[in-house]
Amino acid sequence: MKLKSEVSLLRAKAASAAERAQRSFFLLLACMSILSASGGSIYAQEVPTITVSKGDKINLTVSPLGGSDGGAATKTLQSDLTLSGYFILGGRASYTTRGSASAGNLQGQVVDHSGGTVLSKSYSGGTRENAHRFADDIVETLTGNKGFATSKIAFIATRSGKKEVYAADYDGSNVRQLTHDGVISVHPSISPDGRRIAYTGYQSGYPDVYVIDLASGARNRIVNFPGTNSGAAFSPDGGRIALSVSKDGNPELYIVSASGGGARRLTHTRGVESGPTWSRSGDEIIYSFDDGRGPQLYRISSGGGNGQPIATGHGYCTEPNWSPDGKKIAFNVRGGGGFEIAIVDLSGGGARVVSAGENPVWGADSRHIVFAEGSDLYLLDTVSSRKNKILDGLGKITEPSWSR
Amino acid sequence: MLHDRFYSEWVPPPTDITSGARISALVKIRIEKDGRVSNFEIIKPSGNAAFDESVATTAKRVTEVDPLPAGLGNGEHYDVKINFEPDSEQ
Repeated sequence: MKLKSEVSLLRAKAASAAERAQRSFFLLLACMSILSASGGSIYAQEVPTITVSKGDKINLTVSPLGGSDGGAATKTLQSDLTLSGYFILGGRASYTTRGSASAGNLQGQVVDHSGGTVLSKSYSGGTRENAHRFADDIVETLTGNKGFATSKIAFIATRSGKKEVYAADYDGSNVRQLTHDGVISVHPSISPDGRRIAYTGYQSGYPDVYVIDLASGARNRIVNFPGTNSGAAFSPDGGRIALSVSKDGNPELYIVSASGGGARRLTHTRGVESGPTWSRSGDEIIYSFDDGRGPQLYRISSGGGNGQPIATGHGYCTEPNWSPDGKKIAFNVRGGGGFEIAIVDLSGGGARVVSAGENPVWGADSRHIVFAEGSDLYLLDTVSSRKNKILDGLGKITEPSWSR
Repeated sequence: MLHDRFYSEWVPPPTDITSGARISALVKIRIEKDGRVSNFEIIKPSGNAAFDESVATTAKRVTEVDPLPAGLGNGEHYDVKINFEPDSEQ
């Protein structure tokens, strides 16, 4: 019991789920060593048990926010904190959130179990936006990790009968249809700051790359080389775009500026390069390369050179997406029943399949992915494997992209 | 540390496969003095094939942990059981 209460005390003070678990086990080891040393043979024979639980979370109470917008803000905050994967709401709480929301202002606090204030901040803007920003600050304060509550997603949906570009909040709220062209639009890529969306549209009759500025609604065609221009992906700083261009006869990777100028060819092969994704620093690009034997993942310096294969153990790998922490690639593989989502750790260890579905994209926390399955979008916590549907009812939804 | 290695390497099947059922699997591992995991045995399977497969896959991924601290085990190796539980909040 003493051990349990000490672990509980540690839990109340710890900064993150991982740290809590680590400290608990250090304590467990220390106590077992003491028992073994002082208690004699009956303890020495015992095989200790540790629990690896994906439910290992921080207990948090969300007190209803006061004020005229308190109800709506509380609901958004509860949803964000639950979806972050770090918290259990309710129970014997280590922390409590409180505050008020009205007239475009949210005042939020987080206090620990002894009443000490660990976060106090004011936000001004829309009710949902304020609650999202408060949620991200809570995640960062209590876990040290970046949250994704303020992030946006872009995707393709067929609600109107044609493939059009849409945007929404990460949780599926605030859906906006951005194109109404009545032609095919594909491969949307939202800039890391969530302000621009690049995509391939056919309104000229040919597949060209356009960029939409979300604040102004302005749309510019930035790449219209002969042939196919597709798979545009913003660099981490938003200043460059990598894409697949077929003007040389077969698809090759190119890098252009975010306004479309300064095109530079990156690959020189007889195969097909597609689906580029940038490293955190912008120094490297991972992509899918098919030389006729099935697409494989390759990595190349964004300055040029030769692409190097990445071992995944899978024969068909497309649509790679590099996690913001630089450690993992999520991508499509072809399984027995259709497309599946796999994750490979770049430090080695082989790929693992985490779900059915297509087009996985990492969130800012390098822990959650959004992907399409069936006609809907899902959010998957790759640590706990908890899966939430975030969007449906827009015809067939495909090709999500997620701001960071 | 030990918990963290298995926590981060273990990927339970998606919740729509396990249906959020309260299941768990108990394994016994042996850690050699140098940190090598020399034995990994599921001594009490969960009964859910996908769940047990995810635990078995973890064994293939974690083949080495930190070397044993002095005074732990018999000096040569250390046996420990690990209980794998899914996210109980689902």
